[in-house]
Amino acid sequence: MAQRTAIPYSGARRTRRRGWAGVGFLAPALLLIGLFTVYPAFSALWLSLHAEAPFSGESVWVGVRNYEDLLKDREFHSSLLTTLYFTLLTVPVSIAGGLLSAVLLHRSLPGIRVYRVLLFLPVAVPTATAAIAWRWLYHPSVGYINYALGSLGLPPVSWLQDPSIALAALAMAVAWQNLGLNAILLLAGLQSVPEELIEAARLDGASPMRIFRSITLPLLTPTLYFASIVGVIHAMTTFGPIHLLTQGGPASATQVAVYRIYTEGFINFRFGYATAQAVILFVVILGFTILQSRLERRVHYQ
Amino acid sequence: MKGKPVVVGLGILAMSVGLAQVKINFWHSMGGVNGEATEAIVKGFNAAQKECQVTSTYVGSYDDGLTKLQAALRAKNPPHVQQIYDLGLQGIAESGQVIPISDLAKRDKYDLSGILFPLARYYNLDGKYYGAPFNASTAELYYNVDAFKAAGLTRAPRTFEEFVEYARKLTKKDASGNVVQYGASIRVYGWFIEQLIYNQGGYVVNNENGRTKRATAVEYNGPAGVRAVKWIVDMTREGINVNVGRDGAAQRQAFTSGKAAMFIESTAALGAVTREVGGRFQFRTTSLPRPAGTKGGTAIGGAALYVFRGHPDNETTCAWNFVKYAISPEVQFEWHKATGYYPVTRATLELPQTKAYWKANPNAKTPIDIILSSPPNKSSQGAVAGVMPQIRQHIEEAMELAIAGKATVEEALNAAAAKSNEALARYNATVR
Repeated sequence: MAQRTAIPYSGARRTRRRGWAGVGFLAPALLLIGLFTVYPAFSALWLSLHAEAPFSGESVWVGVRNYEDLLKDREFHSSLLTTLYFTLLTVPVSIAGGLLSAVLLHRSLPGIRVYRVLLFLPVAVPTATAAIAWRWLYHPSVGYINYALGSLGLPPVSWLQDPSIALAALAMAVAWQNLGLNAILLLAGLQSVPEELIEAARLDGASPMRIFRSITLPLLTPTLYFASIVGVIHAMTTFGPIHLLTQGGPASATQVAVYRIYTEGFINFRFGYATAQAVILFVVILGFTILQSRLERRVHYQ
Repeated sequence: MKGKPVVVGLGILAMSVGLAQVKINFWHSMGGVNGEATEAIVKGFNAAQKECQVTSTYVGSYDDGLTKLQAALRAKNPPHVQQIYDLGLQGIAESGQVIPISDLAKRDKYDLSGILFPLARYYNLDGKYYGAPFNASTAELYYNVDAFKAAGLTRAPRTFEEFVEYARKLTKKDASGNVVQYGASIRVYGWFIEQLIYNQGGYVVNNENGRTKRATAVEYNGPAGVRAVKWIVDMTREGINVNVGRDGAAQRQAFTSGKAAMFIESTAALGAVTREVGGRFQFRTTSLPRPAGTKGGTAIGGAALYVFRGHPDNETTCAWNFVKYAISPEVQFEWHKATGYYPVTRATLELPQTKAYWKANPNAKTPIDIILSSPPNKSSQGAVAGVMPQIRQHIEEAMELAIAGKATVEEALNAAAAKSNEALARYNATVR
């Protein structure tokens, strides 16, 4: 702000010329974003106004009929609700878990680097590999988790087969994978908290809990804000683990919007209808992001 | 400058070779062991002659392959030949994008009458073959002979009732009440229900499985479908069938690790099951059970090769030659041996090497026994409808609801049928 007002009026022309140079420098990025982000987004919007017979290779204009059908489509509505539940299950767990791990890792112990690497490792594991590992952990008869329960004398649980448990089981697998990233982000945040503030508070006799609540946490809010935005978008567009673990089942319990879109487009071959759902999902995610940016007012930037 | 004429000469030579040699694209969906066997067929064809060369591409699962085909059709650039699964039949035939195999056969008087009867019935639509059956399977029962002996059972169960009795005897618990061996592991899979319906002489869709007229409503929620779903759901709820969800690998693993004594699967899984069991126990294969007092037989599964329109004549001829090679007797025998798919023509069954192979491997012959004993009616001919993949999903959702106890089998199947009928009506409206 301050910089812009400081430019004297007589320099406006030079600024504009510099502006064109800026556009020149931005051109490669603009071209790529236009080609791979903006163009596909608009062509999806265009496709959502069409319908097609399978394998005909042609589309017919239907106007907003796909959107009208969506208003009545109960399965789509419940998939949006499932998406919301899934997000509410994964994001808080992965952020709270990440925060706890970051606090535990924010100290100098021998071998602390090894622990940090171990915690970050799940992030580097490909989704498919992780999903296959979880599939065996959750296996109803030969899985490790049920084996452990059995040796404690507890009955086995149908983790991915019971409609009332499957979504939570899936959310835990996804939260586990995202936790490491949040931990690293928050650890970086913790390390940037000025030591003298904490030192001063300690001299004033503040308890560690009080220091955390009144100093560390407020200074971490920018990182928490970032982690929550990225986390929500990531959770609302999760596909890989669902495809590999439950395929939207059992009894639609894990049928999130993205999986519904996939099924509609690539199993039922209704591309127009599927893209209309994708457009709605985009609007929903945009809404959430705007909502979160309202909360940004409470974020404390240093 | 001396080198220049040589380069030009080489260029002309390369061009002329390029002109003489026709190149075509073949898309398939065979991964793993079956994928290697497919590549072997392509290599064999390319080595046998020079003028026509096939480039094969693995396009992922059958569903992935159809997605890629959709994109290719939009770009007006389909492959010359694609392997497409059984369910794709009506959609592909009605798209007008393929040259019916029957038409190609008429051109050079190739005889298609050697194709096995059950396959001929399935793939014939309006008296025409649109694709050539290539890899053929059906559903069968796999059972652990050692576990059977330990429980005092001497032969495979033949009826649903007998199967339940067997499963109870085969379910074993340890001192603390944990199950160490389940009677069966039957996953949630729509195709199994279809096959169990045919095995009772029932229909999945109306108008006799869509064979007398275009299907306009489903019938899987009728008595045969209810019996099949109830059979699985009741066993699962009783705890004698392990619930592995929709996961095929988890289902097979339960059997091959000895955790479940019986399971139902495609005959094409024989290779994978044999490898995973690794001789740790004896197992046998046989036909699916059916409710006492019913009659019927299973339908075929697998995929066919389709030749697409929009290519020059010489390329289409090349594509057709490749299809003929892929279904020729010796090639089909090697294919059968490597994969567990059964041969598609009678000529392959008559080969001495086939007979010798079956003598040494009785499990490999089971699918042929099953499919050739299926009664020649419209039930075991198999259902044809444009939205079969969706119908399968609806059946699976219904099974999961019933297993979870959220609805009775009848309620769940009726709700699913309503959804299927809606999808069917929508599809039928798009076909002009």
